[in-house]
Amino acid sequence: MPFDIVALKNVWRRPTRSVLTCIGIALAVATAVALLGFASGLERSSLEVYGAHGVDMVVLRSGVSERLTSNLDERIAERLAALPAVRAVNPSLTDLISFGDRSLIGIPVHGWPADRFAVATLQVIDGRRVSDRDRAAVMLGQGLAAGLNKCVGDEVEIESHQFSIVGIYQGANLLENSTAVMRLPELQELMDRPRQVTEFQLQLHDNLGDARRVAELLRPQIAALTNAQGKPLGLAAMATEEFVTGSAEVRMAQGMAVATSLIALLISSISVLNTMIMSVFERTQEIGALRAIGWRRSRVLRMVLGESCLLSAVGGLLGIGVAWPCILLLSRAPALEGFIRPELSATAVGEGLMLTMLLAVAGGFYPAYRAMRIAPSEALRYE
Amino acid sequence: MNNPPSPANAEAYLLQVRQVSRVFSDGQVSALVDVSLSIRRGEYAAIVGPSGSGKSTLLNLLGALDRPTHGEVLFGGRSLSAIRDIDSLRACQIGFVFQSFHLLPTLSALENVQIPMFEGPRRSPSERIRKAQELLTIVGLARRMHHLPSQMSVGERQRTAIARALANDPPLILADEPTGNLDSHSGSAILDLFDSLHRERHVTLVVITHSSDVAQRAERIITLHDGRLVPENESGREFLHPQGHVPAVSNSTSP
Ligand SMILES: Nc1ncnc2c1ncn2[C@@H]1O[C@H](COP(=O)(O)OP(=O)(O)O)[C@@H](O)[C@H]1O
Ligand SMILES: [Mg+2]
Repeated sequence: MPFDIVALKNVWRRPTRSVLTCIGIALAVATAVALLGFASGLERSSLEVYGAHGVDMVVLRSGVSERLTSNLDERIAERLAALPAVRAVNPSLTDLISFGDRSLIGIPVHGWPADRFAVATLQVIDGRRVSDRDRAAVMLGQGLAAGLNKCVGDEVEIESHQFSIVGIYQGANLLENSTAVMRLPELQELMDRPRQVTEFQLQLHDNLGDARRVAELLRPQIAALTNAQGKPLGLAAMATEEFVTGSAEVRMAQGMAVATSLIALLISSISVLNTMIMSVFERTQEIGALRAIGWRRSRVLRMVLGESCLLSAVGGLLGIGVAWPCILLLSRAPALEGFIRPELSATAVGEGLMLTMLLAVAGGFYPAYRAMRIAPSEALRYE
Repeated sequence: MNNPPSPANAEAYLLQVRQVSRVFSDGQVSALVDVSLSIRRGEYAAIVGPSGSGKSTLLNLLGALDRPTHGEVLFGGRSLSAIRDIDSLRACQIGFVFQSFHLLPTLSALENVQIPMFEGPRRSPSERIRKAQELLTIVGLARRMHHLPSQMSVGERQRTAIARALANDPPLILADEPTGNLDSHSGSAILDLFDSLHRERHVTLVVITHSSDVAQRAERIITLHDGRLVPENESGREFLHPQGHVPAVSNSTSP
């Protein structure tokens, strides 16, 4: 009989308790995997949106990582366009707006000039793009149009104004599909932010070689731009990837995912601790007897640690076994349109499993230590 | 106190107890007071005495499970306090038999007997199984090897525990009321087994008992009273239950 069989069979001594502990761990791991998967899905999706429009760099007011609170004068666009490495600039105003009878709140609406690349790179699936001749016109993402149950030619109420839907576009993914686009001046007027934008999206010349290096070179040039009086414009330029990973939404989603996962895993490690400490206390005499017949402390330690690792591993695998098929199913669901990706979740699964094992050892160590300290003379106590 | 063990004594005596006292710190209980005795190699000794007289405390000291407050215990002529690897001594030199068996409930008889073999002399997995089979055959459980403790009678459980005690071929077996949980029939089967271990394998046996059966079979009776040794010629047969009144718990649930 191999030594590990002893730990294995000990876990089965109280099947109900062991199974419940495993289920607790499984839920924690499934939660962690799902949340971490969601957070990286969000990051990946935002990157895709910028990628789909060919945005190489994003310029914000320096010191601002939340693009909605960035506030810039749209005329800076010409200064940026004058930089030799820059091919095109799209001034962009984004705000979160309620639609219709407030059934949809916080929809991201982009105000873009009709003649720039951002509008030009929209994939229109019905109707047409907005043009400079339009008044009170809006384009809707596919998902948003479906949610509002509207099609091209319908009217939609935005902030108490009537807009007519001129086109419906298919976004890069779920994220972009629930946005709307209108002409920049119209959004500025609607939101009472005349001449204001939240960011500039830059396309760089692609004959300049490595885009990352060009962005690195461009960054100080943009930071050094000044106004007519020689005062700095206070701009911060970032490569798209850097901007997305550093953005408040992504960081918040990741922070929440990590924090919630840690709490879930901490609770599961406390449940391992609880289960194992009960198990060790119940077996005081038996463990004393094992010591009496010659087992070393290290062997008792190994046995009890083995038991808690087994509980955690089974729980962890069970959690992944539940989360994985769910993720696969969700990743194929048309409603989610690639927001969740199986290959992304593989890293989340790995992270989840690693954390579980770590916390299993953390939760199992104290009971194992207590077991190790049981005196061999306990075996003869009360006899 | 530190007189070196004379070689002749070390030859003859497996265990020597020299002026041993054991005081438990909580409540200041003197469980043993100035006890001295020697046990020859191959001897079969019974320890008797009323409950609380210090029998288990003495057995703990003999088996290196505990240390005396004063005095010393020699094993094979060496002071236990001077032995560094006491775990290895317990694993290889001493077999323990407990009143409530202390078998692992989820392991079969064959697996339980292998438990001490993880320590002690190196053996391959197949050697361990062979040895365990051999021992279970000796204790008469050849047909019960794959039973769990819960599937065996209490007598069979105790025989499994004896096979386990023999796993590393120790020269000494210590038993604390080994028949205490058994009915008189399976109790005497256990005693027959002890007899044959003593006669055929020359195992040194020290057995705590309340039963006059055990005391009759032993070569020597050590009597304790209030933690003190009662001189052997005044030996205390009165602490033994008369035959037929063995306190038996035949259907005990503890493995
Ligand atoms: N671990 C311990 N802590 C405190 N007192 C103990 C301990 N073990 C035994 N005793 C006390 O020592 C005395 C002898 O106990 P024990 O050796 O178990 O007696 P016996 O086995 O003869 O019934 C008793 O009074 C008992 O309460
Ligand atoms: Mg006792």
